[in-house]
Amino acid sequence: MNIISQKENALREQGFAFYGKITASLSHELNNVIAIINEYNGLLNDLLIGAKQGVPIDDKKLQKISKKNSIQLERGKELVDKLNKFAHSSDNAAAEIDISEILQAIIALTQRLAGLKEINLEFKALTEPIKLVNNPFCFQHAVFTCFEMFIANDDISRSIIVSAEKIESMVIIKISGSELSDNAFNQTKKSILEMLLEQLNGSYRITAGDGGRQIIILTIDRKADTKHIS
Amino acid sequence: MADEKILLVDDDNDFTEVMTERMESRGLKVDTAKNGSIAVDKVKDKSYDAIVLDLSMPGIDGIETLKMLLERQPDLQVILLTGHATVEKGVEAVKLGAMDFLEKPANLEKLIKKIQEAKHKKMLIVENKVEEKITKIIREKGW
Repeated sequence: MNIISQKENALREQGFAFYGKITASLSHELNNVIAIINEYNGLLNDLLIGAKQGVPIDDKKLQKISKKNSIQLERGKELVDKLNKFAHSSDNAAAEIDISEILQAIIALTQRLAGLKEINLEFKALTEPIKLVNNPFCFQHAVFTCFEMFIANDDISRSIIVSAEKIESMVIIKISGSELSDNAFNQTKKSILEMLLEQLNGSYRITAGDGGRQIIILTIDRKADTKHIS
Repeated sequence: MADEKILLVDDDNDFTEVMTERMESRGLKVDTAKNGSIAVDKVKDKSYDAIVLDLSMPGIDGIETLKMLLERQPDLQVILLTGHATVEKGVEAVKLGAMDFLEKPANLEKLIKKIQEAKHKKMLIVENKVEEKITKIIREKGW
């Protein structure tokens, strides 16, 4: 097997792992929504059984159950939308990417995983719209890899901040969190990041930020041709 | 009428709210904690027949919470509630000393049955301990 196909295989394998982590997290959250709806449905049933035994049904209680279920249905719909959008991000190896939209999407997809470590993902609104043609799935995977490094690091700052800007033909994505450990996990993630950025026609570097924070800077050329993953 | 005292540990307020209402309507006394640290604090001062613990929580996760709870009170009966993606963790938890685990969404009547089993199991443990103490005193006194 030559080096290129080894890299492609490694990328594909990591891509599946990324896909698995996101879908597992979303389906877990969706399961929680179903569990709550299930309990409110059970509560309705309890009220009906009570009514058959002569206990009057409280209108306010019914209204509350209906409202709570609507909230959960809305939450469930949002999760399914996110999942669907994420699933379709692998449809095309090259598509127009709205940086603000895609960063907010990957933040939303990772929020639960970060939340389990009590870490908040923050997005700094862009001063101008930035668009580029590239691989949306690879792009999200690259950003997620940076999140994973800070999350696994047990980010003591409790926040990961994401921002983006456009400098000439380059798109610069900055992801900052607490100082990264030089452990085996991060070494592996750095090599994955390198492969992903190569695929996106970009590069990355890690630099020191304010207050002991570190920033992973992803630089992607907006004009470059996208390398395709077959 | 049941009068089991339970501690429900889950970070989702909507879930704990509706579960509390349904269980209280069946005569159970329900206390809640939204994370592992609060649960560990609560068992210091209060006695529960069972702890119903969610596995996936922010901060200290369910497995760590379970370890901390059993370290402080080895007789505690812990029933875990898991999402479908964490059944393996549920098995791991039982190996660590949890009484049982149920998948979310759980059937409430099934959960209450488990809670009743937990209370019975705890009572047996307490009774055995009392019996052991009495036997020890009888032996020591030579009665």
